Amino acid sequence: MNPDSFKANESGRMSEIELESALRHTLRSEQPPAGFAERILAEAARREQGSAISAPQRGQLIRMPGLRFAAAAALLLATSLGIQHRAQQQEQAQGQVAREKVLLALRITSSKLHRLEMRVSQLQSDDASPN
Amino acid sequence: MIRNLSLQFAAAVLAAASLALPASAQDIKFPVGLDKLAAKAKETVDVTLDGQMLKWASKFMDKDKENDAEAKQIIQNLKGIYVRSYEFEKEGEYSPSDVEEIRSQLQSPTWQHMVGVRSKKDGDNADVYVKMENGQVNGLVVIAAEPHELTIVNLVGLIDPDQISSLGGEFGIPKMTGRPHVQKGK
Repeated sequence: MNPDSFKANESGRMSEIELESALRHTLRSEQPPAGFAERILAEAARREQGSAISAPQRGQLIRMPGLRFAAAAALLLATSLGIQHRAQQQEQAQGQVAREKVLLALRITSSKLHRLEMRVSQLQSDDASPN
Repeated sequence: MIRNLSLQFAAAVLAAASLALPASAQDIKFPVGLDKLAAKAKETVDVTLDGQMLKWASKFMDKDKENDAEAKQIIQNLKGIYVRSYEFEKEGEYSPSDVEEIRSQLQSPTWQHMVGVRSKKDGDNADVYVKMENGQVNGLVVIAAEPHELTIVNLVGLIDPDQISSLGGEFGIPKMTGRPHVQKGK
């Protein structure tokens, strides 16, 4: 047998023992300090009381007429604002269409009058020419 | 029975009144034949704007845009703008009687034939009529009958005569001053 491998085995075995011992120490069952359970229960009760709204309280809030009215008013306001915004958008679009029509109508009038003016001035220059 | 008859009469009067209302705002009645031209036309422009629509449109005119500012000034005293314009692929698509029907409406003393051009060479006929009331121009009708195009314009309301002449030089159309137009900067 190789003496080196023996040492390694020996050292390996020692390590395992040390590890086992450390684990045993860490995972050993330990008794909690006195009053630990009472403190935990007291803390839980304190948190329960300090929480925002309990389930029954939430139910009560929903049943409150003032709150229901406020929610309905907020919904109504949001809806009316939406309708108003939509109506404004429609008015804006209609106004733009009317504006475009005015510009188109005046452009047509302008072009026809311009053409007529050109004709008249052409006739005048024809009359004024010696030939 | 009598009650039913009176109700029918009232309904008939109301219907007649509602039909008469748009016509009263317009100086001339567009002949029914014109509406049929839309089917034959390559392009059709149909603009009908009463006073209320013109006021509404003027609110959306951008004062910083040159054409908008000019248009706003022109329409501020107008009660209506009515335009029918039809462009055709070929000649002879509209009847001269349609045009005559409009001209016949402008024979009353309030209407003055301002200018008329007849061209036998290219078949262009154009007329401008103004409605004179209390020494003011209170309406304008332009009839431009070209071989491929028929355009009738009716501006209703107070029009500044300077605006009529300036219209010929606005909206991207170069103004004519009796001599050939020379583009600046070229």
